[in-house]
Amino acid sequence: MKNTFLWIYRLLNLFIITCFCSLPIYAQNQQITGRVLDKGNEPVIGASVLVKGTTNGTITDLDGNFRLNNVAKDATIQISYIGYKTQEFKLDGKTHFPITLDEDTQTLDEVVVVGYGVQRKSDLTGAVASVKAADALKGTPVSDITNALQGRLAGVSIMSSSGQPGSSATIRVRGSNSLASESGPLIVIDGLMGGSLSSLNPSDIASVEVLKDASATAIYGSKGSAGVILITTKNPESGKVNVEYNGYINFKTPYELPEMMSAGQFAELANDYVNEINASTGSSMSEFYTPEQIQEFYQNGGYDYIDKVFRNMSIEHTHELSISGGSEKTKFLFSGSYNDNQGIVNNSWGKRFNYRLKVDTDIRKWLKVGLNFWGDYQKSSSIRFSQYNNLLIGALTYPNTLSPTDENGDYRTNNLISPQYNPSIFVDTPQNDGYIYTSRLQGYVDVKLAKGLNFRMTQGFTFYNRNTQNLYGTGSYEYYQSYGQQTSADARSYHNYSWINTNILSYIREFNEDHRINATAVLEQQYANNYYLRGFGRDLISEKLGYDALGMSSLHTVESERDITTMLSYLLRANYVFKNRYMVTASWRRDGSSALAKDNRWENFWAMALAWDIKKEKFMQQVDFMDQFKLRFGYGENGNQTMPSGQDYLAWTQITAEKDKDGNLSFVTERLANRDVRWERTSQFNYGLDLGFFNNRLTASVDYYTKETKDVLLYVNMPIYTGFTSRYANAGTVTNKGFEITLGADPVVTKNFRWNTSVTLSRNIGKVKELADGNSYADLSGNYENKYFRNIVGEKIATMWGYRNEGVWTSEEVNAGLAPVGTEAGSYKYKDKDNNGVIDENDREIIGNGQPSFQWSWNNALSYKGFDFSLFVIGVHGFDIYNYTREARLSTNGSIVLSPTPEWENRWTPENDKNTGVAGFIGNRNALTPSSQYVENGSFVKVKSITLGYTFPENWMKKATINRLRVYVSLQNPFLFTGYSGMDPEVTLQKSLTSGIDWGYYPNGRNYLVGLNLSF
Amino acid sequence: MKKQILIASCSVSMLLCGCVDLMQEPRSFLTPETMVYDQKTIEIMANGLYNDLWFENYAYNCRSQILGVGADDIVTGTMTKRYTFVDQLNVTNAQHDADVELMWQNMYAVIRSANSMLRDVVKSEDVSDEVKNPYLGEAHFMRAFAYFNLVRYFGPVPAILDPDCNEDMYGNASGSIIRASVADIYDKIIVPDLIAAETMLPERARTNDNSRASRAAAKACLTDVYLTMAGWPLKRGHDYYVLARDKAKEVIDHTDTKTYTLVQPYENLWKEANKSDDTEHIFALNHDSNNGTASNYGRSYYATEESSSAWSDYLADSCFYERYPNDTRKSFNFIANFKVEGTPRPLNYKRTSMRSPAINKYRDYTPLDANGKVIMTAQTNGITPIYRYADILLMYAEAQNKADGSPNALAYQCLNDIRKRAANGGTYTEAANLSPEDFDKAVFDERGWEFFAEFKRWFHLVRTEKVLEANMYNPRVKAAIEKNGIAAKSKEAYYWMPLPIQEVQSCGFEQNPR
Repeated sequence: MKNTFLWIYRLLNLFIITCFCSLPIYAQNQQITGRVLDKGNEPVIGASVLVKGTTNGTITDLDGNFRLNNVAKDATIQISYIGYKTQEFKLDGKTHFPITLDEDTQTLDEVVVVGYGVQRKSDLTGAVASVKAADALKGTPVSDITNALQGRLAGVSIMSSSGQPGSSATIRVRGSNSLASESGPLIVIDGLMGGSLSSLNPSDIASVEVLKDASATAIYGSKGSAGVILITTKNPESGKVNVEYNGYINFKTPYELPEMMSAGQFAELANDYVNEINASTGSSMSEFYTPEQIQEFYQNGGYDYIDKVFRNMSIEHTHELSISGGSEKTKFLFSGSYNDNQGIVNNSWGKRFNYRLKVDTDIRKWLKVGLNFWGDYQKSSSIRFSQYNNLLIGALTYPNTLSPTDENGDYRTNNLISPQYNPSIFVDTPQNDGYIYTSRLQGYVDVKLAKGLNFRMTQGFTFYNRNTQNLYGTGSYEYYQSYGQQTSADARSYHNYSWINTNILSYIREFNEDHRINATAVLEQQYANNYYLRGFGRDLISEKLGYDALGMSSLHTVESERDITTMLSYLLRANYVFKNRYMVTASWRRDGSSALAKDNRWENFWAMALAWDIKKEKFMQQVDFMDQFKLRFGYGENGNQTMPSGQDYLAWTQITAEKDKDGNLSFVTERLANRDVRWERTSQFNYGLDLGFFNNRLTASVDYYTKETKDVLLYVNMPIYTGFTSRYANAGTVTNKGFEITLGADPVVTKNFRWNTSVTLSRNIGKVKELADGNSYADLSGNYENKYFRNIVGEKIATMWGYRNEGVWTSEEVNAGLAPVGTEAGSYKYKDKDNNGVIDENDREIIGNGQPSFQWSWNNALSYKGFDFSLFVIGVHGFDIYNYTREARLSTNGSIVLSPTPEWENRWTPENDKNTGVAGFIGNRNALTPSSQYVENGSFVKVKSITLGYTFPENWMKKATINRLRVYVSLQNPFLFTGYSGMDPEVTLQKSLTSGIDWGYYPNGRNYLVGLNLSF
Repeated sequence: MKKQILIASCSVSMLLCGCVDLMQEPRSFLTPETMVYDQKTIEIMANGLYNDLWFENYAYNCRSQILGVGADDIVTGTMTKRYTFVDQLNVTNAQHDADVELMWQNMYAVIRSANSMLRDVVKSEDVSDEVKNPYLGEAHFMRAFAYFNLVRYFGPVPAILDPDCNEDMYGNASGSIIRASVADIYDKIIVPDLIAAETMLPERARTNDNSRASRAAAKACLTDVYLTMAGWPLKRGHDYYVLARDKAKEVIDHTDTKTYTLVQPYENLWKEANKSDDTEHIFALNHDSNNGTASNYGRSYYATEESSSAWSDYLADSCFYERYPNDTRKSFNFIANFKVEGTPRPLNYKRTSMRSPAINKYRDYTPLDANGKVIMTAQTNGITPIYRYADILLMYAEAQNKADGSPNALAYQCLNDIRKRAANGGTYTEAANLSPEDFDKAVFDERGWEFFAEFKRWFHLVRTEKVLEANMYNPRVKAAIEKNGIAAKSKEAYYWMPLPIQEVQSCGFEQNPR
């Protein structure tokens, strides 16, 4: 009997147990050997073999064999493995033992973490996806677990949002429910809400569970609507002290860099520009370059600003070390990791140190306490990939014929025809420092009150400190920006402190074969206290002292801010299973929060789910190729209490003070109170089906869901006679519908060769269903990317709204009077939607959508003797990218950008009087934005990782007292298949509301890793 | 037994622990609920009125210039700028919605703050009326000034006196708030507010400079209001000229101990060092880019020919320049010959792309480097002038002539004092023995010269209904006006700005005619 998860579990156990068992070092009594098989005569890998009453033990190898030294002649040997009945036998003088383990139907089930407790996987009624961290990391070794999880969980979209070291990926579970206060799923680490996945040491993680549907997430009430990711870290296990080391070195390179004109070509283009503009407008500019200069550019080249931005190769390395062990009663685990990560862009880097100490002690049979102390320290340096004066766009557009500095040694602040900072300024001048230190202390007390009745109190504290310091010295961008060109510096520090207190009363009882109950009652309290302090100094006496002596500046200011939020919650959940096949779960949570006005403070959230395993019915017993046929249905409601940034106290009118010219204070009303604000509320239906065939060698899980989120927070217009143009209000309804399919198979399982393959398919369509006051659309408030999108009732979120480009007008068309009056030949041609002869904002229409509708992944893990190989492919389809980066190389806000982009060669000219797609160098080009010509198909398929590993045979390693040694090489993102013309389609998906716009974001690159896993 | 104790204590602790406090008031900002109205608070509230009027460096100091480009003294800085539409009297929401919306929001922000003071400070029992009243006077003044701007830019506008904006002056609840008539805004808000301000404000501003409202500021504004009420659109004529004449005379007659004179010479009014002067500047917004409330003079007023960092937003109208009398004001107010980097010979304005001189008035507010070269940064210092003593003199001259049918000696003196100062010791044409019409014309022109680029000319043209007439000098503007058939439209269609689109949509207001 095998099934997929058992195999996974066996491998995991092999891995874990190897860590905790060590080889005997003294040989006195005798040596025994044996082989453990299951009823199907297949070896049981990783079964635990223990001399009872001692810590002398081992596990079975890949062939099920074990060897145990120093066994007393009268010893009792215990063989156990999850899913099987534990066997014990006496030696009775024998030294070789062929053993067959019996399947244990009672414990066959794996348990999964479901929030405030665990549940048998077979009893699950909701949509829960689960991944064993070790499996994901084996195929995709990374320093941030999110990158390894990408594509592995159906319905969970993970997009690497930036190549900046230390930046975290964008995670969405079943799409986005929110429009203005969208922040992704709730992260719960070891039962403690909050925290970030990227701050974890991946080797510490045992499993990742994602609660997707409302029946599963409703227990997280007002925090659960965007899905919940539960992280469980490894628990210490008793046994001899075990040391484990994992490390890799990663060589990173950028993807193909964008095409550029050579300096010679560009110098010629610049002269063409002058001549063509003169011809078109009658002006009399003179050429920029003489033929000699052009010749020289052709010979000696110019200034390669792209080269200035990207490194040819950067290096990342990671080291993770853990030590664990302990007695039956007290167990400990200590781990630390260090990651040093150079970005593929110059001057960008990140460093992270992480530690964890976990101790569990059984004080009495009924009393258990434990401690989990962990934290991380990070430093990073990032470069200006902002929307305004973006480094990458700067490097792509700045004339490569101009040196970074002028004759006086000042950075250039103009290009050939308009003001533009030389991009070098953003790479060369930033001077910053800072760190983030997060420390968490978690303790629990677990009391067995009666049979099945348990009380557990957990108290967690989080201390978060962050410091950032910036010096804006002579010659920096900010220096040129400031009044009269002054140096300045600032320092910010953040001191956050929070605690969560959770009290769980649980009752888990199996009365007999027919009845099982798992009930939980919880009281939870949360408190968060965030403090921020900033000092700023302008006109520094000494640049060298900079932010270390802010007081030594002609003008210094200080500001501080504190906000305190509290929450009180009650929850109840019960899961009842009848005859192993009828399952029902019901839950209820009541949340009260300090962030809302008194009348809206308390909300109730409830959920209900049913499941039926038809295979367990008598009439299905005959169908022997099938192992599971389970139907699930769930409905639930939950909320989103994320407030848009800086809006924690929406229910109050906000009055702050500003200075006037003499430094007098004056009150400024920043915002009027909105006492009606309430949580966004999502209701969700989920329909699921789990199937298992051929001894679970083939499994399938299918879920279909519909979600509707009401009271969606939006930044809505308000009458301006209030002095404000807009405010946050609950003003919309959003729906998400989709399905998820997970298929798993073990096509080949032989003694030496195993092949495991799995496929996930996810589809989600998120639409705006309704907007307040019967509005049919709402433009996104804000600038930059937001200007390219519009939320339209009945349309998908991330709909791009603009002009439909139809190429350029030819002289023939203009002369024939086909173009609007005043049109110049060679200017852009747009669709006149209302046919009124004028192109204006009424001619805009939907020009694209940036929300991917379909994502898939295909994972393969093969092993042959000591070799393991994995291939992981992901695909993202059904979305458009607005290539702003391409547009910005041709024009911004309607004006020509004279950049070295090869696209200029296709422009309209009087000689090339055709519909070329790029307007000419003429007076009135009519370049409107957003324009459909920059919308491209964004779909891509990425080979995420190819990994080849080799585990040295055990008997070689024994001599070196090494338990396990594996070396591997891994290629990450080696192949990218896409029709998209920009550098990296994935980073365009970093924000859900403006998904699909490429705004000079920091691209990802290709990685080449070499690493090893070692334990002794 | 132990267990039972534990069960009991656990249950009890569970219940007791539910004690986290859900009442968390904001810690780092004030709310109306937590405000204590002592004198310090009231003063900071009052300071807020001026901050609201400034609003942002790109707001009052900038938008009022943009919306005034339609006057005859300044023109758009380049033809591709949207200001060209204002210049040619063709303002629509297509190009200018953001401009009108900002002006609208800016004024209503002042009104909301004034309304809060006039409700909450009045109620306060912490301080005496004696302490309160000067500050309340500032609130009355600023509310009146904001409505005065609104009614001149937009005509009928919502009359909001409730700080919570739940109802308008007529008691209409939000959702059914209407645009109050121009007459009601003047009669029920602006005039009563200014009369109240006049009595409550101190003779000299509490900061002893021009940056806070004083009694003379209220009188100057009231004079301006009466003159405007006498002209378009209310056209109440004679009675209001009388009111204006008398109000202006109160300041000229020095009935207060705080007196005003003309600063000599004219250009000293525009020095950064003198920006707080209150010998002639009665009321102005003061700017400082380091502390806050920066102005927008740094790049907008420089011509493209002068520097590649220049924005060239506004230039002087060359026809206005050419008509300008040859006095020291002229040589100060305009830059007709540009210094061009790298060439020793200056470039005459006639050979520039816009064939227009630049505006020199606000250039002392931008810093220079060690070589005396301007360091151009958009945000800089200086003032936004609002009322000067010169205003009082010319308003008096205009009102007295209209009220009494002919100019009296004081009116002549007012006009001639301005001319005399402009001559700065040189010769000038002394006005004398003019017909009422000629005198009016002389005062009208003098106002143009004196207040060149001072955010005033547009309103003056509107109330005297001379917008079209004044725009016939510049051939480019004239041609555009004719091409677009502006003259055939109703005056409301180009005297008033369009309402912000958002306001029309969310409040159901009827848009001004275009």
